[in-house]
Amino acid sequence: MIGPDPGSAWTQGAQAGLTENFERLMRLNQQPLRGFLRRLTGNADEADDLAQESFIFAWEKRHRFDPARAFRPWLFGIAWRKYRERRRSWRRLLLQEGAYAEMQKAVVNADPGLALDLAAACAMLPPEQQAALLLCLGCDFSHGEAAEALSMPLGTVKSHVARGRKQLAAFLGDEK
Amino acid sequence: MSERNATMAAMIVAKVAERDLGFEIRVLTRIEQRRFIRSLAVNLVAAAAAALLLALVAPQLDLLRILGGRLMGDLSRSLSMLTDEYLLMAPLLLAGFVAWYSRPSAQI
Repeated sequence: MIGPDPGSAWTQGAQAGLTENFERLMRLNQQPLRGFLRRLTGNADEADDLAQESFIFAWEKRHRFDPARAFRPWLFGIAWRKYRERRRSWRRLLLQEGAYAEMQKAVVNADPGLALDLAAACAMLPPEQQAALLLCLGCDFSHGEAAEALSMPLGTVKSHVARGRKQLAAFLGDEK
Repeated sequence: MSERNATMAAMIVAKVAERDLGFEIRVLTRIEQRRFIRSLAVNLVAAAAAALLLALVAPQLDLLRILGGRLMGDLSRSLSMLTDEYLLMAPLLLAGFVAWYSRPSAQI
């Protein structure tokens, strides 16, 4: 279950170097974070690896965290940046092998009339739009928190969410 | 303002365990491994620096003369020779204390 950001005591304890507090924060956030990354990457192993790296980075850079702000957007922001870094290297790798162009063609030529479930429809959205939609609709983030996590202006997040909703509705034939 | 959608929320957490001990242990293990490697590297550098410092400073200490004096039974002469070296001994002691108490492995 995705709960509210606990903030306060656990975050401050973790920042002071208390591993138990960090464990609690990890326990609370691992499910939504891994779910978010699984949707973005489309691969459970890759997503779990990214989630692990994000938690390790959060622990190592805990002194950079501002306790006056919420922990969840900061953590998801780390995960988003890690995902983008890795996506860049995937893309480079695929381009080198000439496979990326084929994959893009397949996405563009996808049959719009095809019956899709929500997950498949989400996967067809551009990553930035998908991330904004997943955070705001699926992870209970406010637009402001999503903007912070994705390092995007608030207006961009709002527009991603609105456009993403429309596109999802179109993909799904207005079922949801 | 949150626009939470129950279907989307359920899709995100689908197939991800609410509590995954394996995942938590893997993260904590990797944190510990990194901590260990970092503290090992820092200690190795500190040890190398200390060895270098000693290699530079130790020859200045006339230990053979001091020890020789003690072995010959002239303890007061040996001690006075040792205190004569305070300009070298005091910074060495101070550097040792500072290095020990501010070593990063003590704070990680």
